[in-house]
Amino acid sequence: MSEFLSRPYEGFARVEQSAPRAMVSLRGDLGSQAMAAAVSEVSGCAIPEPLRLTQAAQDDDRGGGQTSGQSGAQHGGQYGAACLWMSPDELLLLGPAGTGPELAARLTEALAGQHHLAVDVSEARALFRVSGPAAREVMMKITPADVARMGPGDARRTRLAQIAGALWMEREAAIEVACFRSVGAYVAELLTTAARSGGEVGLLHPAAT
Amino acid sequence: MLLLRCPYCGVDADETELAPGGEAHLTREGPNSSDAAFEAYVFLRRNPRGVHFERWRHAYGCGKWFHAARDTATNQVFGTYTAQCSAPPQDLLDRIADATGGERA
Ligand SMILES: [Zn+2]
Repeated sequence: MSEFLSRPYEGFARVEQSAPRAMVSLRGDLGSQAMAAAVSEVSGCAIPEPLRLTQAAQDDDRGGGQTSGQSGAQHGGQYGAACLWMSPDELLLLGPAGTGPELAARLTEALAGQHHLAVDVSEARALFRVSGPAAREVMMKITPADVARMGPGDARRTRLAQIAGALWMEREAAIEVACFRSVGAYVAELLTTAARSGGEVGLLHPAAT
Repeated sequence: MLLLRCPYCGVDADETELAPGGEAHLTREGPNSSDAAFEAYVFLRRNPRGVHFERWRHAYGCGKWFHAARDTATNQVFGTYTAQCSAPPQDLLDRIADATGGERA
């Protein structure tokens, strides 16, 4: 993993480089039974609707035991397996760091005989997280995506200033950002500049006075 | 600013998320075509002032090619439709006729 932000940046929102996760690109017929069965078996996720993501049900038993509300606590809690809709024939599966090759191999096995492609692309992208009540306002500066209407469960590939990227929300008030690793340094500067204190937009979240 | 609804993912995509692909529904002339037909396929485009059928790609989004009908003078968008067709759908043509008082591309 490449490091683009050595520590979290605190502006009017928090910007950090996310911990590495396994990323597996899966292409094929998303409407097929075989695909649904394979994705469920390997990741515990359902096939997401367009522009959405699904998350595996989490055991809230392990340490911490924050069972207040939905699975995946507001702040703490591990980020579990997730499945992002990327295009009509493409998903991106997220899993525990280091498990990419295993996930891809298990998908390939589960989909034997079906037209598909499962590839470990864990090293292809850099992951960032923009969090806090004004997180959406950071993203509104750099993408044409309708971030104001995004909520947990939404996923969107779009443009981030001059490059291609993806945005999604696994929980409220935190926007996950992915870009190709080759432009990771650019996106780190882009996000921290957009989140700089004094640059509050005040459209969705009242600016601090 | 131009917003086109991608028929594959449903996003109202900003122009900056899209890559233009030029005039739609060209007949692809092959090695057995006449020189004139091949020249027209490679070089000659309609470039109308008014209704235009175009190819676009949701380059920064789902990556798919699709079609759009747009007025080149006003940027009015009449509709978008999938790439899996060789002519605009009739309901779109009807809508354009209604909107333009019968003008045809
Ligand atoms: Zn699209």
